[in-house]
Amino acid sequence: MLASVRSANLFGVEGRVVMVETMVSGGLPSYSVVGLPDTAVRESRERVRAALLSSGLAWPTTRITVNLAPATMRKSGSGLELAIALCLLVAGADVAAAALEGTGVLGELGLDGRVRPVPGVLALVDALARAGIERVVVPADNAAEAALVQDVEVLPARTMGELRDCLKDELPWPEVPGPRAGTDDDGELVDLSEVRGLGVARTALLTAASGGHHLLFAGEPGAGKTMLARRLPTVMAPLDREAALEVTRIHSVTGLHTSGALVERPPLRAPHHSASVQALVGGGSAERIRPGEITLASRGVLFLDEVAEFAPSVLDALRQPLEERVVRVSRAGITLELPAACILVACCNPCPCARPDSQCRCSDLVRDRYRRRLSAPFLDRFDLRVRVAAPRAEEPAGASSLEERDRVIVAVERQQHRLSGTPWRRNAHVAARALGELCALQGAARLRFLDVCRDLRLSGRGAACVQRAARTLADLDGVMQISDEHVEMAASLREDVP
Amino acid sequence: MNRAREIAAATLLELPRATPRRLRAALSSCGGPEQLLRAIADGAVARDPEARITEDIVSGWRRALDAAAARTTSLLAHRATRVLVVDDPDWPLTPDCGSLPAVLLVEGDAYEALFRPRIAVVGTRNPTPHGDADAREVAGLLADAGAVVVSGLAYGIDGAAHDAAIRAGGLTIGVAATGLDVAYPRGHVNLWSRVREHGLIVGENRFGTRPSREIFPVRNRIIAALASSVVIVEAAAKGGAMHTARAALDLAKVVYAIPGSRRNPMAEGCNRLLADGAQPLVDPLDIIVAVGCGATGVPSRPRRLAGVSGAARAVHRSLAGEPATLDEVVGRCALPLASVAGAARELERAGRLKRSAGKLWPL
Repeated sequence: MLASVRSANLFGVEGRVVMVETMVSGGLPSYSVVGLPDTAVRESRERVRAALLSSGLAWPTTRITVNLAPATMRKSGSGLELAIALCLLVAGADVAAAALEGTGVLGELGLDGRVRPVPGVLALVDALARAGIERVVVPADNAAEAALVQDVEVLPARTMGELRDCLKDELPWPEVPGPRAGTDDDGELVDLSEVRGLGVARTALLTAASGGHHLLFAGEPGAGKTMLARRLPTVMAPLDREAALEVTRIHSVTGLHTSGALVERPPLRAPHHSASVQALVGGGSAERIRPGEITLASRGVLFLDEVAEFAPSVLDALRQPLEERVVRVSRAGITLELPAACILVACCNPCPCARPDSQCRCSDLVRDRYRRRLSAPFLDRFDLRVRVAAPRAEEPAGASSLEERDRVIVAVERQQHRLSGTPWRRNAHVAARALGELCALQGAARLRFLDVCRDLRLSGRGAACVQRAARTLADLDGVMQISDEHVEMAASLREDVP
Repeated sequence: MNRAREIAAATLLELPRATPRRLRAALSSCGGPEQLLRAIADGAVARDPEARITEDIVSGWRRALDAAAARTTSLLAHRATRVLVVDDPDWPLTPDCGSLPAVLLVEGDAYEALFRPRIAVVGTRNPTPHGDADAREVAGLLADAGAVVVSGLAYGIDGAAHDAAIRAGGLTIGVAATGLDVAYPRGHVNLWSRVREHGLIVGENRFGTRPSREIFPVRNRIIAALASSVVIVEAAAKGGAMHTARAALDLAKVVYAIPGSRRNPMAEGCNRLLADGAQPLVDPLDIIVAVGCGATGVPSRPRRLAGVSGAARAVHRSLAGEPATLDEVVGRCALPLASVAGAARELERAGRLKRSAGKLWPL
């Protein structure tokens, strides 16, 4: 008896449709899975069998062959189990094949017949929808997330037994539950109004939030670098639907996202400085490539505190993804592109002892060695580099995140209007060749720009950085023309640090 | 001075454990480098327990003699090195006890630097922008007045002093701790060649001597002995510049120190020297007067700001001679950030301000 059901499997942060086929034939009882399954898929046998038996359903005591097509793609994880179980029900003529026509099935099984949630449902349902599937059976816990995909009917499954009855129209399908509230909003809510003084660093923060520029803060411990950097997402414009779906999909794949709600706030990822290259840019085995922190931070902020403590090889591995805003991961026979469109914010101390200037006794050799941990090409990726000095206690508190975010949103809209029809979304992304047109400098601004380039001996890349940042500053001020003060300010935000 | 004598003198530096004290004693007993080499070959060097010339040393010298002579001959064949021996008419160092070198290697295009008044300008390798500016000002004035600026080729004050002297069209002498063929620090390879062009590089160590911790303080006594006075621009409480100052005091040279803020750790050494009786150098012009070498009457520095905008003037005034961050200046001046940034750049362009480590330093 032959049966087939469509399911999907994760490939990086994308889903791929998998056809699950079962053949129940005469012969000694056996169960084999073919089609490049990993260990979790192969172990499905025990879970499928126990789930069927404890739900009062039949387990064929003959020869069972499960094929996962396409045969050349590696399959991983437990999300194919529900599809295998339903296939067996169809093969046993318990459920009509027509009931699963045009339906995709996702889910892991418990021994008691419960349907368990799986990671990456959004990506998987998305893939099924693109393959023309109109209905998906998903674990009830994932139903809210699956419902984020438009034009697909979501059928929540709670237990194997209930699912069988629903498929046979003996029971109505359960309601799709709403997203669980608030579980993904981790950490305390922070606000920019808690930061006193630091006008220059604040300006840099808003510029980064508006124009998507990478930002480096250098300064003594306690100056407020980390405080500022952590508040960057609070002044960024909320994610539009496309970006929100991308972020939700990526976070769901890695199991970070469980509420089922759309992630609307830009994410902040702050990996520890002991992180490996794979942890930061992504990697893992050919069976299961895991996105790295830079992908998890896509559309949001990747925050590297104590950046000089990261291994130099790790930082240099970030260079290409930061430039191209995608990560290419290659493993045996597989090449994969993961999104990496994040703003990088890094903090570092001026010297390894990190004492205030008057107490620092680091020799120039030690300082130099510390500085060299950050390679020149890596430092070059930062359009904004600001030295932060601790503000005095009597400095007034600054504007709140909400007020500043309104300015940023306006600046982002101006950019989107100007950059529509180009491959870029933010000023920081604009290629050098298009700067003349998209970040035009005229009159006094042009003269000042030439002065600044000469005075600071800027390289071509450095000059382009100043030009882009000046454009963003003009957008923040809500003006069409970049003025000479914008150029000056942009140059001041690109200090020679650390 | 003939070439054979020079080669003989340079050969002495190649001998094992040929310290300045031993060489001075042996040279004075034999009469000259060639005679000394002959005496070594014959084993006829006078043993001198006071200068620690023992049997061991003499036999060590004798064994190394042939190799040393061969190496020196081939090295000097390719280099335009002048070798000076103590008691030569050109000998530039203060006559003194045995701790000063007996042989000096000299390379460079301006041999006349040895016959001009020489002033040492030294200090920390980590100067503040004020220290850097002071070093340049003092060295520039000295060079302008025809004096030779002596320093140690190091990063920081030393480098600034050499550079300013060359830029002012003057002569400068760099005293190397390493061998004259080992340019150190690496970042100053370019400066080494510029000093060779506009002055001399002087050293007491054999060719090929690598940098090591001990040789730098030892070198500083040559700086003190070469110069008639020493200017300490900025110095931490401990460090090479303080060695130079102490050596200069031992040699009865005048030590000038530029006073600094007690908050500046790089001024601590200078302030301590002043407390101990060094001459305060309040105005760099004073050094010209003190040296007495044809002051040109150039004003040291325009005190007044001219030709800058009102905002720039306000920013400069608000700094009141001390460093401050951009944020602090914004708080003091009641000007928007962009204007202060513009004013700071304007001052920088006019040479009246320097940015360093996130702070604005008025000059």
